[in-house]
Amino acid sequence: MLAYNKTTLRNLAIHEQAEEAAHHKIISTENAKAIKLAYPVDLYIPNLFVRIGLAILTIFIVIAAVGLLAMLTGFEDAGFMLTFCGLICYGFLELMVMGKRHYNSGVDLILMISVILLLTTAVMDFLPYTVNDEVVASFCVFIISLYFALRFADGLMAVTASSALLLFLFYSIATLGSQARLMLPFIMIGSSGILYYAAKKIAARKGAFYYDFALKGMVIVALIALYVAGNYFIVREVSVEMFRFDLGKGQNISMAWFFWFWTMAVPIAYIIVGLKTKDLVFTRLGILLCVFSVLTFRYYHAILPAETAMVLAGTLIIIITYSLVKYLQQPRYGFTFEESSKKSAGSLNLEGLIIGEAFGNKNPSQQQEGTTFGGGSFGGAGAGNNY
Amino acid sequence: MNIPLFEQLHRDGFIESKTLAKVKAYDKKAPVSVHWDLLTLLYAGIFLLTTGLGIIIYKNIDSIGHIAVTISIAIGCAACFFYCIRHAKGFSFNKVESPNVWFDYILLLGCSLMLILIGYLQFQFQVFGNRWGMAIFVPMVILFIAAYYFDHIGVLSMAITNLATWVGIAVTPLHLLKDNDFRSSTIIYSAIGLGICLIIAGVYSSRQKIKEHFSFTYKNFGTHLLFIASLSAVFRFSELYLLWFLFLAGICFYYFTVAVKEKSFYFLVITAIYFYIALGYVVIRLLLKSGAEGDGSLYLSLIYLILSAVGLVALLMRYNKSFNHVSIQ
Repeated sequence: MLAYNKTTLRNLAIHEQAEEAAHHKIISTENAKAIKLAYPVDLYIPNLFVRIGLAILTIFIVIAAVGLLAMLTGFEDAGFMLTFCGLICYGFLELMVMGKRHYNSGVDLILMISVILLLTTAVMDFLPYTVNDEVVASFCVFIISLYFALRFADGLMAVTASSALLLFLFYSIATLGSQARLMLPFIMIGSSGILYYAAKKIAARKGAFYYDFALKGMVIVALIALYVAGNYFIVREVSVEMFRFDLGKGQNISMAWFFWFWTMAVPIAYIIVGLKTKDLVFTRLGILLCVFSVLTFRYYHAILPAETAMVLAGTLIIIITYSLVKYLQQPRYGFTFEESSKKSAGSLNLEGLIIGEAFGNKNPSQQQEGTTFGGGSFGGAGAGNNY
Repeated sequence: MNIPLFEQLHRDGFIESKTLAKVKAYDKKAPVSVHWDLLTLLYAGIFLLTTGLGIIIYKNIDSIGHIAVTISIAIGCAACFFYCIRHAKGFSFNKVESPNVWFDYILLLGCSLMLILIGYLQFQFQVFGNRWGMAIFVPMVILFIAAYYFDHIGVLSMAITNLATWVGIAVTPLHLLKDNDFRSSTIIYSAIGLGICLIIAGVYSSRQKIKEHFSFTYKNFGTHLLFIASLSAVFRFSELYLLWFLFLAGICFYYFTVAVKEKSFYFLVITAIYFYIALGYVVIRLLLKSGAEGDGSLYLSLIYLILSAVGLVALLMRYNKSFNHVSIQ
């Protein structure tokens, strides 16, 4: 099933581990070099910028090719034309991976996405109008991306497959009637939980080594879905907007207390689990979801004006992080503030660019009479005004 | 760390038992680094606090008064610069490491406050009168001095952005295309001139070893400015577009040789993409002009787009194989 040679993928992992060990001075640099020579990797893994360039060019090629075919066929039989394009893209994908040994080269990712889009649109075109679009589309995306995730061990495809599976479940159950709709949040919570345990169970097996990255993506999707399925805002708005539940004034969705509890408890639980198991995926997700929970609460009960809340929250966050940074100068409880790897010159330059973008001048110049260079606005970030 | 992999390395005789034990001990004991997590949170906190304060001041400006606001910004700004001057290690032509974690952020805060302060003074009290150019020139000079004295690439980016505003263009990448009216020929000429000056500054600082690590920032701003300005010259000056295209092709050729010599993926890719856009424009324009017969020229254009992109992919892949180091520069 796997398109890549297993030994090669294993050797690639050995390279990364050897580099990490050399970085922490556990093994010598010469030792790491010798190890890398002994375990060759014959994959084409380009530099990040080449990857981005290749991805952009591949997008050009796919769009121009589909456009050309559409014009040649006179926009008739769109379904057949799209299927044909999808199959051609898949052919090229196999050629690049099997023939040219591309691995995360930018080309392969764009081709995978193109195949999913083209074939799913083709299937939608073939089916009569009476079928439920969302159910069919999510199912198609799930099948194709699952195949890609298994064949190319790709992280993004694993994320797509897991999300599509959950969406497919959601849409199919939603068509079953109002009783099923009432149960829907609990069914989704249950399915996300099952997805999480499935990912963990698969990861514990021996052959799962090559799918390490894909399984991590699956875990993240499952954890987010577990929270979203029980979030008060989501449940309430989906009930009102999609299912047309009539909520009069003062009325509430059933089991509102449970969903409020879920909204507040899950992010905190994630942070606690993350701190206990030292799994940063959990803590990071927990902090992000905390923000979402606070916004949910504010949406229904705005106690403070937004700006006061921002000042208070900002001050609190600064005080807490500042004291944590001070506290973790020495490693404590298995956490440290020390960087795991030194900043490279490249990341420093990138940071500089971002600062220029965020704090620099955002006003375009305006042609002004009386100034030599036609410079109109000034470099005041925040106080920006046009003249 | 993946212990089974290291056990395999041990079995194959690449690492000794002692090293394997070390790896295992490290894996058990090594603390998890939360460096970037905490810094991100800190940024978020600062962002929330400053935005909230900004809104409060904006809403209550009538009761607070402009003078009070100006004085408090000035005090904040002065405090930041005071801290930086006290802790700075002093000037050097080489790279100076920042004395502690907070230094860079406080400097950045001070510089942002300085920009706000001067902008506010000009907007509310017209300290520079009608000489708007001075209201950009003064902070620009301060920013350049701060960037060189305290050795901060971010402040240097702010200074270059201000320089470009002063010349009449906003070079902040995202706004480059959106806000500027590149149809005006004065702006195109001044952008080309500024771009060339910035590139020269970059080359000069690396040759003369004056803050060598600033070189990339100069070159990067200069390159994009030069490329985008000459591209818009190709689009704009319809009578002379072939001449401008030759000009652009010349720059591309120069960058191509430099990129190959310095093994720079970044400049190779951006040169390739800019050249692709310019060439595509010229070829399709010629095709559409020559073959007015029905859809024929449209087909040819699409076929050209596909073939040229395939060619460029092959080129990038070939050069990626011949370079072997990973760097942004």
